[in-house]
Amino acid sequence: MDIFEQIKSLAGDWLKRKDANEKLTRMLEMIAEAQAAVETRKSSFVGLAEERLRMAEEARKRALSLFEEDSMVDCEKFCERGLLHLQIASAHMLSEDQFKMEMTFDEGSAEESIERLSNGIARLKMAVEYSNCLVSDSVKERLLEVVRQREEALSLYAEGGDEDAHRIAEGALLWLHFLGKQLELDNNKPIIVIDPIVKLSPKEMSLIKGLIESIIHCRTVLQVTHTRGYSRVERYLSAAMTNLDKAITAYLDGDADRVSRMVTTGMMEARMADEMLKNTGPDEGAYEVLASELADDLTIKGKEFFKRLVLLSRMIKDHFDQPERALNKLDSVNFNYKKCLASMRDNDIREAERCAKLAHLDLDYAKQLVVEGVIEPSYSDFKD
Amino acid sequence: MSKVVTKNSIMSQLVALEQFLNRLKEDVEHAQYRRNQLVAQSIEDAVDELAAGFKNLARERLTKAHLNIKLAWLRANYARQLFDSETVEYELGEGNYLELTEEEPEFATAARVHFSYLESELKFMRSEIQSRMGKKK
Repeated sequence: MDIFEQIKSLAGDWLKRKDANEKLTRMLEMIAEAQAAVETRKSSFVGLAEERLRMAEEARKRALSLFEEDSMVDCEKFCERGLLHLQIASAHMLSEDQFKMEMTFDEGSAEESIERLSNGIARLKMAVEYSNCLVSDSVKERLLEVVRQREEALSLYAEGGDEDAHRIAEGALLWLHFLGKQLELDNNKPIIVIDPIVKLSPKEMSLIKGLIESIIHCRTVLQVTHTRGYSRVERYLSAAMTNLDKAITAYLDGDADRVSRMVTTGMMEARMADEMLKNTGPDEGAYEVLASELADDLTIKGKEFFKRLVLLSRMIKDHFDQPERALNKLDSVNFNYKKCLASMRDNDIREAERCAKLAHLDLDYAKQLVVEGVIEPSYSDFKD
Repeated sequence: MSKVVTKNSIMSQLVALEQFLNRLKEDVEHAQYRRNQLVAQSIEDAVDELAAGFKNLARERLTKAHLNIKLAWLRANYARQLFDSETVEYELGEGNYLELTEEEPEFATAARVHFSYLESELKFMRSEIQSRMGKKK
């Protein structure tokens, strides 16, 4: 019989039926046989089996020294540990393909909510990497908090605090749901649906989700219509966000009354924002792009370009010594790119090319300053 | 309903998880393009949890061993999914990874990414204009 099959077939009480001397002798034989067999076999798991055999040998040596010291109880323990290593090594050698690792957790359990949270974070990351969408600082900051909350939930679960772990994971899921929606809004395109992972069974969670929907609804309307009441609407939305934060904290604290009060207050703020949006019309004057052209390709491209430009300018302002020259060049890029888009719309191709070239030259100049560290940059000789 | 936990069932899960982690570690090692701190930390934690699971299993503390295995799985599977998403980003050739740890990317790296995006957009725009000019002529 194959040595690995032999080890596998050993009954649980096999060791208990032997005396110490017999145990040690038999273990020595099995380890030697298994090591020899591993060397001649082809398996993807040889490395894992070898590692387990090494550990089995260590346990056997430790058991032997305990035997010499006449510590029979401890000797027994190390023999059993060695045998377990041997059994795991055998299981690796006997598996043709990788074992399918799947774990299902009871619905509503702490571990299930932690898994849903882990999957949600990973799905959101996958969606961001795949779509290459922009992630604003505020979304990023909140996402890091969600990642931290997952770690906290895991620690609590490991220590037996299932209820707290469950609550924190569900609260983090609510934030993840919000972040998915915010990402779509910020990028003007569908990116990820994290909706179904938020369970609506507890009343408080349902209330919070309602508030999230209201805030996102207002933000969506705001983004599409660009109304005159921008700053006032934003003020109400920001107050609603503060209440959302408080409501989720109260949820994590298990304070149902406070959740209800915070959601009610947040809903009022969101409703005020919504009313203001309904009562103010689109403000074409505040934006260079005409409402009728909002959906054209150039506008979409332009939006993405300007967002990047703003992000880059902020970074340079915050982190780069003496940022003025670089910022002036980026302002110039902004100006010329806008003119280029306008010329394209007017079908003035020559002017569009001139402006695009100027934008390109200024961008290259700023890049030399910031990235390459050139003190006196020069304008590149781009081909026309 | 929870299944009854036995020494054999835990050992099977331990073996499967060890293979799962081994494959993940190999994949991460081969991916020379990137070292993600969160993935590395999650793998390390999963390995530690698995080692604790083995010790508890050897002492026949089955409930504790089962808890260790579940924690190891939550960490290992998370690491696998995060690693896979970075592979997607790498294969798409963007190299602009979403970091999930506090450490902000260096200013120079982030600035380079933004400059590179803006530059490629301008180049694209200029080639588009050139082709329109060609058509006009």
